[in-house]
Amino acid sequence: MRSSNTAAVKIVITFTFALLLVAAGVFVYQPQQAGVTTFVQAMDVPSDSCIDCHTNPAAIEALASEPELAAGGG
Amino acid sequence: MEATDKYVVSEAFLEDVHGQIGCISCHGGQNETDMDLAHEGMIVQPSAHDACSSCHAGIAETYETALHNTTAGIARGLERLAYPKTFNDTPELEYVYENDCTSCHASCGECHVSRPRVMGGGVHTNHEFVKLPPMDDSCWGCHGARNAGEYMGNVDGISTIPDVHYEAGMHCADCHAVDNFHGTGEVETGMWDLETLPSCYDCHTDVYAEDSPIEAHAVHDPDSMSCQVCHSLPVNNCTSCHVSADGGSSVRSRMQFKIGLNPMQSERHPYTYVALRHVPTNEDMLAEFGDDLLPNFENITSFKMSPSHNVQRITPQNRDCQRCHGNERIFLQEDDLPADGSPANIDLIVPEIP
Repeated sequence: MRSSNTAAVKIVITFTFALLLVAAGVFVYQPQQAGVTTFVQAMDVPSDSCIDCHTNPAAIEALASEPELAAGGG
Repeated sequence: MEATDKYVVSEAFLEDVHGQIGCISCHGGQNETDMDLAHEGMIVQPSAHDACSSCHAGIAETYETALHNTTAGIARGLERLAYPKTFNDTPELEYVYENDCTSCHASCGECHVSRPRVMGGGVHTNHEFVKLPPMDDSCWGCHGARNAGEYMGNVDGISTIPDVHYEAGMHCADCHAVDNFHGTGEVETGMWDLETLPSCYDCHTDVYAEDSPIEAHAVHDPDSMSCQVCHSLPVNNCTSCHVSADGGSSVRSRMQFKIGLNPMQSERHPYTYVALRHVPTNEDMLAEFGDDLLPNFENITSFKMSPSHNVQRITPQNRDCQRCHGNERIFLQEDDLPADGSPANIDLIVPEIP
């Protein structure tokens, strides 16, 4: 009885560890795929209101322009 | 710059791959018609928040340690002046660095999409992403008071004679390799240490030769002087720093051309004589932040070798031999040393004018 319990615990631990390794592979070692996922998700995010305003110079005129600063060094 | 130039997005951008992503996916905010609500939670500079790395992982990785990103060159310069103090044991130094010096940091977008924050920001080319950033917005925006300004003939608003390479239509990136901007992945701590920093010899090979038709190239040793000694014009010399507790102050500066001894002689820069530029430092520049924050100031020259970017074929000092030889006015003199500059500058005075 005791030995079968120990075996079950070992299986659970091994399975959990394997899951962690897979998760690390997805989230840490595959940034390009993660980027594609973000891109695909972004296609579903509507930005119509942003575009309506920011392609309309008359609407933008209403925005205040920050004062110009001098050039930097270097 | 007009608000329409800063914030209007072109139709061409919307058709570009970056425009297809959707504004909110990079900038956050909300798809609302009310302006305040639409801008709530908006990220002005997505690239400063890691927006580019998911697709441009390679460049984002090398940029992590690039000087344009880290401003490590400024940090090293400040810690050298402060030695033996460090940012770790002197909070005042870290405060100055974090609040003033790091404003020179450039995000991806500040070159490829918008003007730098120090110029007031705003998109260039109506938000179209450009592979080659526009010199007059991106490069000049940060380097306009010195190298880029001299190159383009507009030193912080003052009209000067532009570099011959600029007049020939050359972009900064025609000389500066892309890894001068994006980094190589190696940790970079100073501009002069970059392996791929351009050299005049990259294009102008074999200019020094005994049978050269240009007499000066035939009689001078290549290691005796930097190219700028003969071929550059006066450059902007700043003798104070713009760091200030209230967010910035004006800088004392003047245009001058001075030849002195090379303060940073090395295998790559073996020259005995170089054109000099005073860099924006003085002994009291951090006085309002604390006492004696720069104990090593007096040991480091505040004139540096100038990579002057206003090259001309013919200059006042190279018209004939006598314009340079024996002409002490173009060599650094004691009278040229700022009273609150480093005492170490005296070591750069040429003891005997050649």
